[in-house]
Amino acid sequence: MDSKEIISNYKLAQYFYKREDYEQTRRYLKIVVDHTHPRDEHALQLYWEYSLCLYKLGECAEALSKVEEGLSQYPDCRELFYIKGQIYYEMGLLRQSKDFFVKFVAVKTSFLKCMEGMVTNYEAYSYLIAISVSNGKYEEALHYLRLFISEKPDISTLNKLCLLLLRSGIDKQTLIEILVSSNVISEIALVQLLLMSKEYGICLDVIKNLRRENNFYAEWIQCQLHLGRYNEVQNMIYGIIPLISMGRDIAIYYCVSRWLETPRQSSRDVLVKLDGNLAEVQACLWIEELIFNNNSPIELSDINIQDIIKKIALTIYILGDICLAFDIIQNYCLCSRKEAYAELGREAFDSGFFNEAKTLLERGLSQKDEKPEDYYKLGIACGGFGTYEQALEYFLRAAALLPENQVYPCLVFETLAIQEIRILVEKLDSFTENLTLKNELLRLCTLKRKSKRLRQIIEQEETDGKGLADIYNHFDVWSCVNDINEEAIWNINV
Amino acid sequence: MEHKCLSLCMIAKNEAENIGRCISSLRGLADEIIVVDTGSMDRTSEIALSQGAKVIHMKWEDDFSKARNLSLEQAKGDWVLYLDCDEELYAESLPELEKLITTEGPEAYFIQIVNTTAEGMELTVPGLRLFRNRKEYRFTGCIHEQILPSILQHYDHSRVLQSNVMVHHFGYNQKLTNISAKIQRNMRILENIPEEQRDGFYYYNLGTEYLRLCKREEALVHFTKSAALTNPGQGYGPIMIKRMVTLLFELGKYRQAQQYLEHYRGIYNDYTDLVLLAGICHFMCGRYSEAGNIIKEYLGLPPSPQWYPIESAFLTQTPEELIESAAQHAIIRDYPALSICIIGKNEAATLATCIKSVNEIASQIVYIDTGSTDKSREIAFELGAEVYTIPWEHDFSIVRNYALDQAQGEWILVLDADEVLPETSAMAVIRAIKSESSPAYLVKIHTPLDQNQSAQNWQLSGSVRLYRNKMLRYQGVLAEELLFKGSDAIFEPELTYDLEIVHLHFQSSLEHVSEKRKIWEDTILRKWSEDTPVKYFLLGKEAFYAQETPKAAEYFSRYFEAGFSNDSAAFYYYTLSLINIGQYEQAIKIAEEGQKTFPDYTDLFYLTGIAYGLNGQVKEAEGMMLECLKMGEAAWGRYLCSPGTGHYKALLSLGPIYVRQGRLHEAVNVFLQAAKIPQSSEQAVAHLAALQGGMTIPIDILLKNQGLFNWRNTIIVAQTFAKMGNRMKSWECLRLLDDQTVDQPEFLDRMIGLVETLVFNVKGQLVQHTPDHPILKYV
Repeated sequence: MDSKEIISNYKLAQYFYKREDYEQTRRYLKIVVDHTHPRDEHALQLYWEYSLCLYKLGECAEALSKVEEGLSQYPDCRELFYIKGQIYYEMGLLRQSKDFFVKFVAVKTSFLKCMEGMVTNYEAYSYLIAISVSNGKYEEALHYLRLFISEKPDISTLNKLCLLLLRSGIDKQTLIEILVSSNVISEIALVQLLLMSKEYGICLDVIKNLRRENNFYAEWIQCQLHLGRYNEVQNMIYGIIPLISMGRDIAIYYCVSRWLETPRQSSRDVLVKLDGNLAEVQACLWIEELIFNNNSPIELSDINIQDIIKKIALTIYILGDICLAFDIIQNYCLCSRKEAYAELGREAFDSGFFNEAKTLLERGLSQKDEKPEDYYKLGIACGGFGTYEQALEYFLRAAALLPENQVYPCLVFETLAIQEIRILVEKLDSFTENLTLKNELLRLCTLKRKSKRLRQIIEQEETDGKGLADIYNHFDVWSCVNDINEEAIWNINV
Repeated sequence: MEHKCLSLCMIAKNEAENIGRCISSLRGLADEIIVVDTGSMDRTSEIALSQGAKVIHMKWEDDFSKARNLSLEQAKGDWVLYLDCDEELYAESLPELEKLITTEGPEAYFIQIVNTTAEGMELTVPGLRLFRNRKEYRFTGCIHEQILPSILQHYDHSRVLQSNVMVHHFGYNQKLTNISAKIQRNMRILENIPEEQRDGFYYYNLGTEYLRLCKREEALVHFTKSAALTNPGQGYGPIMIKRMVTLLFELGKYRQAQQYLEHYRGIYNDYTDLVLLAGICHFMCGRYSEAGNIIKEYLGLPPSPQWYPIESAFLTQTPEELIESAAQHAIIRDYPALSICIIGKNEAATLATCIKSVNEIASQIVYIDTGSTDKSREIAFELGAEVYTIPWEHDFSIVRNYALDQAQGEWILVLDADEVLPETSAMAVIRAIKSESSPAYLVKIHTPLDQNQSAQNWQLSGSVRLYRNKMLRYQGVLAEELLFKGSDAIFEPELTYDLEIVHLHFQSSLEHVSEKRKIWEDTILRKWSEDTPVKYFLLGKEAFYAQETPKAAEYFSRYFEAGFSNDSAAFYYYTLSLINIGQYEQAIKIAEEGQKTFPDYTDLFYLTGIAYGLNGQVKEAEGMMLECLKMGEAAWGRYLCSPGTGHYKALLSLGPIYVRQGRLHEAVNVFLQAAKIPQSSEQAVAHLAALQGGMTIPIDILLKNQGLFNWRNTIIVAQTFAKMGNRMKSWECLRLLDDQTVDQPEFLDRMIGLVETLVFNVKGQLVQHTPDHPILKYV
């Protein structure tokens, strides 16, 4: 094969990589690799690209072998350290993974000429933070966070890591100080992250310290509601009405704060002053009617109002008034209590409240009318909380109920592999240098990545590219989440 | 002190990663640096120039001497130090180096080159690297070039001294360098060297390259050639001998290794590593007393002089650990001489294990081979056995008696080549010999009946294997019997209770077992051309052990048709064969007939119970198993028996019988009894776990209350649940181990086994719904 043909194959590989068609990328890249001498000037670049492609395809064993081959030729290639770190991370071998990420950041110079000066270290630091958190080493995690921030990370990875850190046992005050003093995160993003991680007290302090209460009144009210301070919510809302027109969410918060008082208080006096055409106002009036007149309220045809009523019911449920939440759903859907559980559970899932979704959907499961989608949602919710063994059972049930669905079996093995890796690593900590264990972990890691890859392809076909990028959407050490980072590296490279 | 100029001479190609480190390690001690660049594509020359070197470019011609000599041509210093780019001078050696070049007298110095291997071991080899700069001193040899021969042409050895200067060589560390490329280059150069220039050093280098390619047989051929051509005074001699001996160990050629060691210990008598290797050789052959003595001798010797290669750790165990290990196996020779007689053909798979198991206690090992085409003879010879080859005349007694004729010891221990004497039994052999309570002893033979060698599936029989020499002879072409020499008198051997021989029947491949069966079958058919009961008994037995059960049943059927019923083993084999082919009613009939003649043969009652159970006659099965428990184990000296039929096996069989009758609490009680017996513990715990669905007591509480809670049982329970598809319970069981740390390899194996069961179970479940899903092919 002459050099023109080789270049042509390489370009085809690049083309397919950009299209995320890694199967084709591998095909053309392999031709190039097979015709390139290990000491050729382009060999190092190819080792890296080929390993990354294999990793993307889920061929972890082959990818690792290629990386090791590359490192035997180019022992200081930092990018190969990075992939090796990623594979070990996926295998659950965190100590070894950490070593390679540390090596990656320690080697300052890239051997890949086209990449020199372009690749930052923050991807490696994000892994190092996750590993530190997983090991309960919070001081170390903060150390890496400082380094991570100094590398100007992308916002998406930063947000993901902040959520991970906020949900861990880390010292939240120090974390917030680092984030605020570094100016790396916007005020609104910080407040939102605190809300997502249910740190209401800290969130109120942050809003107070920022001296921007007026800019964050919606978030402030949410925090107060969650802390059960209904009077403060109402006083605040009364206070701001003269300054701003009552927004749609504010109307709902006001009503909820009134309904949750003991005894329940009506909010009709405020509602009647608002624009009666607003869907939120109509929804609140519908609930008012239900609570205070115990009437079977009028039928609602507007789809927006229906959604709002479900959302309000969910908010009420999360705030602890379970009976009222179910009364709303039952009367609104004209369904049994069991169906109301399921309905509210689906709403919780769609709103990202996995914990509530899990509880509600589990209680709503009905042997008479089993819905595969409910089991799927339960699987995702359980996986999100790290209870993979339960998630596995739900995915299996979903697969049994809907055999034509191609995604569910992938989820089954993706989850099973994660669970198995976790068990092996936890129970066999003293054997992590053992070759038999490594091979087993590599086999499971390959199964995990293969399942994920296959699922993504199916989802792309089925949903026109809008599939779930990652089933467990947080920086969990047991699931692979750093797709964004991988993409970033490849794009720079290609 | 007069200043002497030092020239650092180097050759380099694509060494940008290393050359800077090498040059700077001299810290400016070199007055000039000459680098011959043989075609670098990287920044080698640039870096060398930046460090003050004079760089000369030359085309690479696969000739190291040519390149090195070009650097010498340019050198102006009083002394030349030559280093490779992947070497680095230890900082602490600088003062010594400075001192050496100002010393009058010596013409050259060896310096110590410390090689680091990929495994982190260090091998220190002296290399002549420092010499006076004279135009008559030039390198020779296209590869592994040497300067010493040209020096010795002008001065004798007394002018060439050892030094303590040390250089670190990274070249053998596979993590840091491209080893395979280097090997290929070296091989290419070596192949091009003309025949007439191929001397001992050439073959040593070629052997080394083959060794690096892990081609051991080829490496040995070249080392052997080298040894024949090498003058012991050559610098590479000691390391070559050491490599060759290590290679011989790896190839199982212990006797050859021992011979080389004996020869070269005489030549390199102060090279202590050879003494250690001699000890290791005995250790590997199972001669622990000799091994221990020699290694002790090694520890008492002064360290080897500096000119010998020194390895930081060429053993996985320290000499002290080896001595300790040898002491654990060593036996004091205070008993009459014992000859081990082994016969065999094509027994390479098991013979080494067999011989090693008796090497420590034997005064002599006689191995009679009847025409092996594999390495059996070589293995026996290398392990120290006397090897004799005789033609196979379809008569085992001839071969056995031939072995007895060669035996010199006062006592004989007979082993088959696929048998092993466990270490605990070695002491029993000595006790029996010393007690002299009987001229012959009946010993237990353990035979596994399946390839898994599970504890439940062993067979026990008795055989006269230990007896006084010159007293007995064999008779009978097959299943040979021992008779008093010169008469037909039958003797009564004494039973030994702690002397066991383990039959490695299934360590050979099934093909090998089948091949052996054919030899036996052929022998039987030659001996008995007419139909006789003994012929069918023997044919049936062979078919049984070759797992050809239908054939075995057929032969025994013919045996019984002839009206014979006085052999307990025939009842055993026939019943078991009938059960295996599903003829339960016939099995019951035969076994019950046998019970009448042999009322104390528990195994027949047990097999009857099994056949009843399989035939759906639960009550009858229960009765038989209870009878077995009453009877206890059969006498192994009298009957062929399977351990446990009067004990734990009966319990394990009784449990499922109770389960089938819905008597769950009785089943639990029976399994709990079996769970406390080591041989049946695993199966019983699995049964208990399987029963848990019908019980109200959680399994962990049950195990804890019964003192059965440990990690092994917990994993067995988890695995049982996994097999049953109850994964949640399986995970729950594992959580019971959260606080435990287990370092045993068995734990690793069992955990991996459990994980695989879980994956397999999930796959099985999914296949029912989506049999064609693409992910299944990756599982």
